[in-house]
Amino acid sequence: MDGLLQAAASLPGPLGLDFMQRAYLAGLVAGVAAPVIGTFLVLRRLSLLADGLGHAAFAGVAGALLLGANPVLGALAAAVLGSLGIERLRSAGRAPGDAAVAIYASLGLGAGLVLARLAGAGNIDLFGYLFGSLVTVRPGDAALLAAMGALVVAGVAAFYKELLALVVDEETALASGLPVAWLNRGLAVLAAVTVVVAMRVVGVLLVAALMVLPVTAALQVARGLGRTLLYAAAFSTASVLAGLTLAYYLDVPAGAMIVVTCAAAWALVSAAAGRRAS
Amino acid sequence: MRAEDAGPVLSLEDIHFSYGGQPVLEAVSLRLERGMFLGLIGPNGSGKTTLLKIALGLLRPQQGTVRWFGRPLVRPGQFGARIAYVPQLSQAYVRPFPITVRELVLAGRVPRRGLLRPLNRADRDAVDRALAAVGMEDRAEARLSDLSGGQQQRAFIARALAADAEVLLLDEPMAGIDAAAQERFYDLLARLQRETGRTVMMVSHDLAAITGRVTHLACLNRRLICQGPVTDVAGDPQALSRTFGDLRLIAHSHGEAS
Ligand SMILES: Nc1ncnc2c1ncn2[C@@H]1O[C@H](COP(=O)(O)OP(=O)(O)O)[C@@H](O)[C@H]1O
Ligand SMILES: [Mg+2]
Repeated sequence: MDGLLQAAASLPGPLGLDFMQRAYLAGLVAGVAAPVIGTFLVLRRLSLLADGLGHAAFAGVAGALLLGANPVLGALAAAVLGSLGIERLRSAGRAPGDAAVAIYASLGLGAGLVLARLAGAGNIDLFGYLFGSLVTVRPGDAALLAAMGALVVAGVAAFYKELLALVVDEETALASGLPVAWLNRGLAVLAAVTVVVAMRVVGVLLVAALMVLPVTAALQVARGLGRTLLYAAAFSTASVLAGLTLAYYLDVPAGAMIVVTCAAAWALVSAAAGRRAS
Repeated sequence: MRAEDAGPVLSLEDIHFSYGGQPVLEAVSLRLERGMFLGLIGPNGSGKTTLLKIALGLLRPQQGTVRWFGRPLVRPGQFGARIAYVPQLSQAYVRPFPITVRELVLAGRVPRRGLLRPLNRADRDAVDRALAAVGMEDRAEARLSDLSGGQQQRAFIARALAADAEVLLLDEPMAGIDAAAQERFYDLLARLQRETGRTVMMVSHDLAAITGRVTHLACLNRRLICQGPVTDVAGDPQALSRTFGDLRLIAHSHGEAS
């Protein structure tokens, strides 16, 4: 282990810096988890959910700071509650999916700003939570993020066949006895966990980019659910690695740069798919 | 065979339903006996789809009971993989939808396996058989959004066939399907029903197409107008005119088919 660390420390460029190593690790975790959950959101026309949960997570961060608790756990709690709340509104048919998201998104950002002010906004790095703060990931954070990413991937893998049936058509899944309500709640919780991971990388305002852009790119070229997940994860991790490295050399915010590389990957794939189709 | 299986497979008793405004179903009682091939007919908007969804528990009637295999239905999916359903495809998959035909049909096998149990060789074989039955083997790896409406419909039929259920509920499954494929699918349903004792209920608004195929007919237009063996019902112009409104239209299209 020590040898490995020493070897890593002698790597050239950003890879030799331990804060950058943690940034790459956190970036890779988010790069895999975000498009995996994002695929299910996009296919169920809930792309906006990522955005809404990001805003809810922001309220959680502010609340945790006010109470002196761990901001990541605060974000997780708020995102899980928001996610289940949105799912409840949606499945009860009391609000269309997108309206339910909008309700929680504006509430999250509004409450977050109020709470942040009460917590003494001057002392905290609000900007970091809004736009990501990869280079400030501490060792404990990195472990927590990795655990959350593993939970997301393991959850999807364990219930893959049920999720396939759900994504194809929810009504028939329900009529055939699949536990649709629990699957929806499970997806909602995993989406919340993912948003909190992605928040660290790109910030609450850009979370949706990491969860949606790689998926829309994959949808243009992938055949089958399995390949869509795989391609989306590949596009996303490539974008994260490229964005983070570029951010290091250009000295620009990493989260913003990653969103730009995600968009570039999407544009490239779209152009290639368009060429192939014509 | 289970003891409960002596009675009707499905019985709907005095069903009343409305979506909030006008009543859509009134005092509908219907029995589906084991081994029947029942055609549920009625014009557009007569409540056929609604009645099927009530039978499946997807909608809850304001009044009345639904019994499957002699037991009251208390939640959707209660009887799991014993019942397979082909929903009415109101809207084709046009957006880029990556699910392939094979994946869709495989989804029909999922209810047969418990949570955390992987699908196995038998499931894959059932998928191949179902794909062959609807003539979609060569399109198995195509995405749903790359298919025509009729091909999508066939893929959804294959999903229900793959489930190998005792009872098949089909909501206008022939919509958009060409004549040759319809013919083949009717033959397949008749074989399932005659040779393996499957029970089939098929919704259709096309009396002419269904009459020569089913064993029984039920006519719905908000109320259940009539039900019985196909020869009795199809030979009852009064019942048909009360179902469809215009008798001449029906007599005409019926004459064409026979
Ligand atoms: N989700 C819904 N909300 C409100 N009204 C509906 C809904 N679905 C169907 N209806 C109405 O209920 C009636 C019966 O519809 P449906 O069961 O789909 O008829 P069918 O399948 O025989 O064409 C129609 O008048 C239709 O407009
Ligand atoms: Mg209908």
